[in-house]
Parts: sequence; C-alpha cells; structure tokens
Amino acid sequence: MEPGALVVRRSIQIAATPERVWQEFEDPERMKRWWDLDTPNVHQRLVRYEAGVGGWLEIEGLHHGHPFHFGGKIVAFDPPREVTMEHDWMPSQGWTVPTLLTVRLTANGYGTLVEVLHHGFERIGDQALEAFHGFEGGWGIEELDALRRIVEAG
Amino acid sequence: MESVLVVRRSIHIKAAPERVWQEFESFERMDRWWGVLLGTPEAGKPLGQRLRAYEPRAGGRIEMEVMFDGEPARYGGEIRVFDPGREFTFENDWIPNRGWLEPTFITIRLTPALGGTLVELMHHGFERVGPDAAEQHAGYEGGWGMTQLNALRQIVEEA
Repeated sequence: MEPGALVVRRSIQIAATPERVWQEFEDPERMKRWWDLDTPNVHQRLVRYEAGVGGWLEIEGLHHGHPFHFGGKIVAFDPPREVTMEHDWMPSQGWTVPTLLTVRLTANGYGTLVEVLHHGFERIGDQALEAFHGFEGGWGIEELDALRRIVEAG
Repeated sequence: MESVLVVRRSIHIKAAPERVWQEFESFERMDRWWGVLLGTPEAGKPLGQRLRAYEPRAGGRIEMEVMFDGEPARYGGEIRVFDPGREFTFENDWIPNRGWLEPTFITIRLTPALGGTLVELMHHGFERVGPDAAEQHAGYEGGWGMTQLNALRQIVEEA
C-alpha cells in the first residue's frame, strides 16, 4: 500500500535476508519477542496477533504514563515483503476510518531495510493533522531495535 | 543522492511553501527554529542544537554544535541544494571528521499538501560513511526528534 502525504516513518537496517527477518512475523510468540516492550518510556504488550490477511493485531500499554489500546484487521500479508494492518484506538475515539500501519522489508546489498510506515491519516476526518503530528512525535524505534537484536543474534 | 539508509521526520504546516521558506532566508530566521534550544543541547537528546554558521546559498556553509561527552562538538558542511520553496540540502559530517569516509546529507523538503506544506526532514547517505553505516543510521533514527520542525511550524503558523 503506497502511503499518502501524511506518513510517519521509522527504519532500521538488519544484517539478514528478508526471509530470515520475516520469520519473526509468523506467529504470536515470535511477534511478542519484539512488540512487547518494557523501556523507561514505553510498556506494551501484543495482546492479540493472528497472522495472514483477515487476521488481527492488537497492542495495549502505557506510553510516557498514558494508557493506550490499538488494534485492527490485517489487510495485506505478503511474505517476506509487507504486512499492513488497520490501526485505530480501541474503543474508537472518533476517527471515521482507521489509519494504516505497514511494515515493509526491502532487500539491499547489506541485508534488509525494515520500515514502519504509519499512514492513512488523510482518511480519518477532522483529527487528521492532530493525529499525524501526535504519532510523528510518539513513534520510537524500540520495536525495530528489538527485531534487529533478535535477528542478528541468530 | 539516492540513499537507502534514510531517517525521516515530517510535519504539516498551514502555510504555502513560499511562506515556510522565508524561515530559511537568513541566519537570524534560521536560528529561531533550526537553532532552537529547549535546554543545553546534547548529542542524541531532542533539546536542540546551536546554529554556529549559516550562509543561505548553494556553496555556503551551515554548522551546528551540541555537547558530546561534555565537550562542544561541531558538525555540518557545505550547502549543496538551495532551491527556494522546495529543497535545502547540505553535507553533514563532524567537524573535525570522526572517521566517516564521506559526509552524510541532510535534506529539508517542502511539498504542497492538504492546503499547506508538508515539511520533511531527511538525514540520508549513511551508506557513504563506511562499514558501520547501519549502526550510524540506527543511532540517528533513535536520536532525531521533532524539536526543529515543531518550532518551524509554531513560528510560521503563529506569525
């Protein structure tokens, strides 16, 4: 899914093939190893993950002390290239449709570039710019750092 | 300047690119946002950076400074693209060099979007620095905050 103008991007380079990186997307146990976080600013748990198109991803936690609960349906699942899911507050906070969260893997001469792209803010209505700016200020790279450590460790 | 290892931050400003670009036109205006300070500037923390030199033209210099291990550390380089209303790109390396084989690039790109301007800050070209390119990219991906872009937006939207 090609993002529109309002996209938040974070990225990391991993010294492994996309096929190897994608193994960490294949089931809830492996996903939890890099989505579950306990850092000074972020505590979160992957509370539901069903791989595949029509599946679901849901996370819950505290971000700088503020509780959050997000989830949505997986709308693209293309091993080892892309997973895209709908991403909305649970329960809804008034977005007319969910935003989209894409994790994209691209092979290059050094291994795999992994990008997290949070997009689709144009779709959500009046809160588009406020939400876009909030998430641009909010996303860290803790998940990507963890994914890299896990994959490069073996 | 195609690069795979890119760090990107972005913001939407409710003003035309020509209006946003006015904030790039002199040292004094650039210093209000690119040099904004939220505390003592320190490498890897989103507290800002001191603007030490700025010649707003292609071929001019831009230099910044933060504290690094308790000592002031300078970085920046030659301005490579100065395209009013559209793109500002400069070479970015430590001054003096700390071992990078070639400088990285920092680009600020303005694009009309949603009745205003999308401003993208892209730090790229990490492939050029040498064997620890991935490590350097990851470090800056974790280090860049929204301090400068937030300040730019506030200045333009409140003027």
